Amino acid sequence: MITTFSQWAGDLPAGMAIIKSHVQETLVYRFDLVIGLVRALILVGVFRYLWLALYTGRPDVNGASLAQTLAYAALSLIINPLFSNWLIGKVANQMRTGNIIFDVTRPSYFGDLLLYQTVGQALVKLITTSIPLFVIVTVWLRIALPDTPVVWLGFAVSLVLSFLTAFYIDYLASLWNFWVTNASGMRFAKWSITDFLAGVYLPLWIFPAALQQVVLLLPFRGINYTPLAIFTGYILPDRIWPELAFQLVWVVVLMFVSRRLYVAAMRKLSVQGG
Amino acid sequence: MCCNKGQGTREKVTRLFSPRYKTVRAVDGIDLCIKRGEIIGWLGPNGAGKSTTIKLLTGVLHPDGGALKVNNLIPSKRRVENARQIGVVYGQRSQLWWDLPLIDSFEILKAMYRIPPAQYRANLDFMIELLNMQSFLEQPVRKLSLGQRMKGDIVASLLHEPPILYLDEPTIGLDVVSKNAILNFIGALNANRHTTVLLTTHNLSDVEHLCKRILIIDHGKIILDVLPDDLIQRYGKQRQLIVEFSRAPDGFVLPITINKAVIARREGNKVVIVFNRDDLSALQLIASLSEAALPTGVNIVDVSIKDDNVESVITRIYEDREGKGTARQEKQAR
Repeated sequence: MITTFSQWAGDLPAGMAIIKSHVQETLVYRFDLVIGLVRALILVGVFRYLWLALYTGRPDVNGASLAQTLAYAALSLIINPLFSNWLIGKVANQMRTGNIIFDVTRPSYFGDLLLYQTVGQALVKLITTSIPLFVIVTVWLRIALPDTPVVWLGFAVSLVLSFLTAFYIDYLASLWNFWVTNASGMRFAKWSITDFLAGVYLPLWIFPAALQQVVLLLPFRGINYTPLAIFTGYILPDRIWPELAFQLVWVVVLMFVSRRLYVAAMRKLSVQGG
Repeated sequence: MCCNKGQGTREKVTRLFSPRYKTVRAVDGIDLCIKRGEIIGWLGPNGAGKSTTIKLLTGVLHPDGGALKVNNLIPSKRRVENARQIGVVYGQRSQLWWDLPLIDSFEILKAMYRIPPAQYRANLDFMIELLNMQSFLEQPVRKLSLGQRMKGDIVASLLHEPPILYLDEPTIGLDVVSKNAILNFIGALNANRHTTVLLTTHNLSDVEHLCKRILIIDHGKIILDVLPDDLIQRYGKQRQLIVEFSRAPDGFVLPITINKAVIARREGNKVVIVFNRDDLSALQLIASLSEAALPTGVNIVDVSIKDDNVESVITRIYEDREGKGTARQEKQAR
């Protein structure tokens, strides 16, 4: 694990260059960014009315108030574009065209290259989608913002760990491509499972108690649920640190597993075409 | 190993439940040592195992057996270190960033390979000058022509000054001018920096101009390892004599002294005669021809000689192999 971190430090200039290149590549597609923004706004509206209907006549569900659930539902759609969810398709494409050969002949690890690209994309989404949406939605829906700096700080750190959790889960799933010729089935399975277990559309607090106990042990909840439960105050300020530790442990575990799986995947690689 | 999916719908459904695999040996028992500064022409028909060898050398594929070292490194074990000492160009693919200006790709690679700024500048200037690339550096890669893109790919693979360069069909689809620019550039690189080059191509004139050693591989095995001159010496003994007469030499019979030669074809006033350099000299042949033609009132107007070149020799070697291959298959079929 220590070598992983030192490699990162050594690769930082390379990483910055790849992040920069990916920022530029994403910015080239202006229209795509606008569409993403509009789509998120529509979804925020749809989910708002859904929750208003579901809460009719109930002051709270499992200790979460209507205001908390509404804030969660809106913010979840706002932070979701930041999280990696496209690697299976990307790696599948590289496999199909055979261009994977360039990714695996660079003097950097494949996973690191993908991480830097994902960071680049997340930065673009943060500035072009998430921050504008955040401003629009908080003003429009009058979402209550946290009033203590500890919560803001906890939220920010948690969000970074969420990003890493999402990335490593996505990366692990994308390595599936090394074993099969067509991974599109895996792609949809992964989307459904992650969206459900991470609490993208449904906050985990509405799950039945038994299901909650299982889901709260898995790494997925570190993606959407943890930062938003912190932000909405469902997780109380004195419970923030254990939550962050939970996320961190899973990031380290996933990172380690993905390294191992990558070594196995490379032995399986066959480059298609001439 | 590859999976046989079967032919037709019925068989494919069956294979869905019980897949069948067969092992194909792409590279089989290659024993080879390449010295620093060599330019190797790595030839062979399609599917012979050329690209597989390059993938093994880059460390992308793990060999099932045998030993492989590049500059004392085992590529599949130390891929990242190996990546720093090699440059790879694939004529059929591009490593450049599709949406960005060409120069941006170079800047990214500079960071990725941690090339010191001064070295980067010097290398880039040298290559841009030699390949005449100033005019399209700012263009997005997707707008470049094939020749421009290929120049870009070659520069991209050489910015970190690798001592070893693998070129997998770098001239495929290029026009003569672009092709020559690239070949001359590779020649200059080898002369200046002693870069070791492994070149696969189907363009045999590339090999003739550039390569110091020719290796032919087929069915995963090396079938020939020679110097270009030796190749001609050993296999290129066939000569063509093209004789033009004053009128069509109908009913013309080759004199008895040249029974070692064969008339390949007749085209109007021209006759093409094939003979072996060792058996007969061109002079002898011409002398006896004119001697035999004179009494019939026909004169020799013009004479030209075509020697075998690398291209014609290798074509013959491929054709012979293929002939044997089909013969073998037919035998098996029976």
